[in-house]
Amino acid sequence: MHSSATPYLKALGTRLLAGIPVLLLVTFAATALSDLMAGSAAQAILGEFATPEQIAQLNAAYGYDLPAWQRYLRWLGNALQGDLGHTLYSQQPVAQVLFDRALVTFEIAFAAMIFSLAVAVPLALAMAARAGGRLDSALRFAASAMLAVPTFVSVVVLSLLFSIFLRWLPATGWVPFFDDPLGNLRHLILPVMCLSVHQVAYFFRVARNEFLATLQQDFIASARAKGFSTRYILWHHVLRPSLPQVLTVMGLSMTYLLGGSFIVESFFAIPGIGWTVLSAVQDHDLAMVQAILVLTVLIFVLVFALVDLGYALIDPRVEVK
Amino acid sequence: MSMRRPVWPTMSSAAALLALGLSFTAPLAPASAAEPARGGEMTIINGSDIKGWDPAVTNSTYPGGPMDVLDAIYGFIVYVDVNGVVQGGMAKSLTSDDAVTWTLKLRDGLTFTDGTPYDAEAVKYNWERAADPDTLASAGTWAATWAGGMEVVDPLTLKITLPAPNAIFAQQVAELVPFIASPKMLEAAGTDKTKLQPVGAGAFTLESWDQGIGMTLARNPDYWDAPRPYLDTLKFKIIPETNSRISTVVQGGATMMAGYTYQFGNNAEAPGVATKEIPIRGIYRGYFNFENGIFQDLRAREAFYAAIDRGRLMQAYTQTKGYTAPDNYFGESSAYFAPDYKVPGYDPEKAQELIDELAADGKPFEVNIVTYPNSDMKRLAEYVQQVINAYDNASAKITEVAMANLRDTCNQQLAYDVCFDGGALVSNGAEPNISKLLGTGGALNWSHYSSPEMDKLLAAATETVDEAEIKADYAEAQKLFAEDLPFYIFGEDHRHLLLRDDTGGVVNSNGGILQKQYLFVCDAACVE
Repeated sequence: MHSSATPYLKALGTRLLAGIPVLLLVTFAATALSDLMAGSAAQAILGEFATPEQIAQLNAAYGYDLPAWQRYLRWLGNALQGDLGHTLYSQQPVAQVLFDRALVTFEIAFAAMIFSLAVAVPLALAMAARAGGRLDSALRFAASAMLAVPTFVSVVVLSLLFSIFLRWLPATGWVPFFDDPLGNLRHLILPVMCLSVHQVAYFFRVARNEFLATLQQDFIASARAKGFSTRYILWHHVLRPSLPQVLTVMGLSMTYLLGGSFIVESFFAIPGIGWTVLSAVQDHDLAMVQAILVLTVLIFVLVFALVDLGYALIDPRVEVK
Repeated sequence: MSMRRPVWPTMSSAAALLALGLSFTAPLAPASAAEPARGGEMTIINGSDIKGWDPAVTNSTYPGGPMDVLDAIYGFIVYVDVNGVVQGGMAKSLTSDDAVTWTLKLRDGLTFTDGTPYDAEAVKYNWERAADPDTLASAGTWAATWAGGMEVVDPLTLKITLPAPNAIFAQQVAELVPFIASPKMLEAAGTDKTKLQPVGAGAFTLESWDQGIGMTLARNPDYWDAPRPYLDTLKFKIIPETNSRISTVVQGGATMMAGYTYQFGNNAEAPGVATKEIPIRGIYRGYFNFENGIFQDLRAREAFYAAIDRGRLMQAYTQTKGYTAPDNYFGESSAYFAPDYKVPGYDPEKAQELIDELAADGKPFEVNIVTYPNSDMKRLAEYVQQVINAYDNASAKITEVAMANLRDTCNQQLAYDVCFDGGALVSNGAEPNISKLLGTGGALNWSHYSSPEMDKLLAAATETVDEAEIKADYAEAQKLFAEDLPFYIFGEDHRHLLLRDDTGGVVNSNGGILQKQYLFVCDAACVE
């Protein structure tokens, strides 16, 4: 007899396996494209006054001059044995660096997601019930304006306001949660706010429209006829049928949050994977770039697989295949 | 704001001492009202991280550059102070009477942090290693010319006999091979640079390094110059974005950063913040292409100088008023400044005349401006483009290349007419930068300017110990500069530190590198 979880696990496994070609393609592309970048690892190590001959000698000594496919196979062989290599300059184990920095990015992305949902969904529910009202119109206008603000603008404006003028929040840096929980919170607020400007508006608009559509369904009219209060109807009859769409948006939001982390982490000097991959690319630290790409592909495949399965969990009409 | 400030108030006497090959045996102590106290920590923010601990791979003597970090671990064996005078650092002195035979005197009892003695053998080993082609040191070719002439006289004395007189040898050592690492560690690492560990005898030892994020250094309790270093902990933090670096210092998240006053703006007036000028002059420059295109013709170089008001160009670049265009390679405050020789000033009529003349000769004044795409450089290039386009028979276009590609595009591929590099290049002393910029094949001579007469003058200035001769040689070099216009000097500036006002013991050396052993935390505001 099959357990009820079996189809879900199978579906999850199938989707993860489908991600393997993507993983190989992306990591190979990173190796191949690194040849097109200006400079080289040897140039960085030897400095600006190194001669072309010296650079060529070091590139040959470390195998940086091998064809892309050879370098890729070498990396892949090591990676399959669990060895992601060492950072190019400080010689730290890449796996450890990846773990430490991914935790930072995940914390920020998770906090931004929770904060955005916590603000946007209740507001969207409330405005769907008062659709067309002044407050609803004002909030829709505000949401449109917020959606138009790119992250590289929000980081500057919010940093200027909260760090420079008001001096409430630190301008840069990061404190791990287990070192200083309060310090961690202080360093978390500004990046989360920057990422949430867009996300709150996005969730609000999508959720409001979805709630509004659900409110026009016949079963809502029945519920009203039975005399249920608006609040009861919203929480018990509107929220759940509308969630699959919100869930889809959450999955897509992960792409935005990870993309946004590049800007936010760079601006606030936060040691997450966004900042790390940017500096690793500039520094020709291919082992670090590859490791982050592997993690990023895994996250995306996993998130979209979980979103698919989430539909089935929320809505019994959806069948898991 | 006037950018012409006295830089070398004691330059004449300093240059005389330098020419005689003398160096002081005690480092200059910082002038500070506050009494240094032990303890505390400071965080210095840099824009980028170092790429390794090889003591022989040295470049960038500007504050916040890789050598600034390596200095904390290894310490400069000798250094050039802000007056251009060579001072004893880890070594007592490096002196010569004839500019041929140099004597390095070391301090007694110095050891590396692994217990190996910091003696004449260790220095010889390091400099021989730098000269070894397998070390891949950029100064390797230079070091190879004299490394065979080293003789260990006793554990504290190393004699170096040069193949030819070189009055600036000590300065070159301070810039090119100033760091000495434990031979034991170097031997263990062999030619594998990834195995090099930071084992020096400098003021600090490495506690941790998180690549691209920062590093933490701890006080070296066995440092030779007790009670220095005063700080218990020194941190380097990496923040690539300039505005983020500034706001971090303003907020107290770090102690200091190096930059330019135009970058700081009103932040320099924030509570708890101060600025301190690094009294080392630097020049802003563009390179003319001497191998291809319009600027092979001297008239075109003259026209370029005459066409643009360099004060306004600096205003466009820095968004700050008050800059005065320098007259020549050496600024007015330099002992070598020769007031009679000036590059062409702003003269639009003369510029138009020259441009028309070139056009009549079938040489259209079409200028390809190459630079990299940061906001300052874009403003600079766009201003130049607008001004050139305003002349008849003249046009300019801008080609942006990645910052990492600029040297390759300009110096190797020569795919430009005029090439603008960012930052003020240190021109504190005559050498070694003047030869790098103006000597045939010089590392910074992106123009590919080649003049046997200039080469002869530069060589003559380094071979003599006679101060009057040196001045005469450099006066001639400036005359030649004003005649040949080897590159485009459009401004001069001094780097500044933006720092917390309770930062004591700020002493700069070489190109502005901080002598970190002097730093201390004051009880109250103490930045002078």
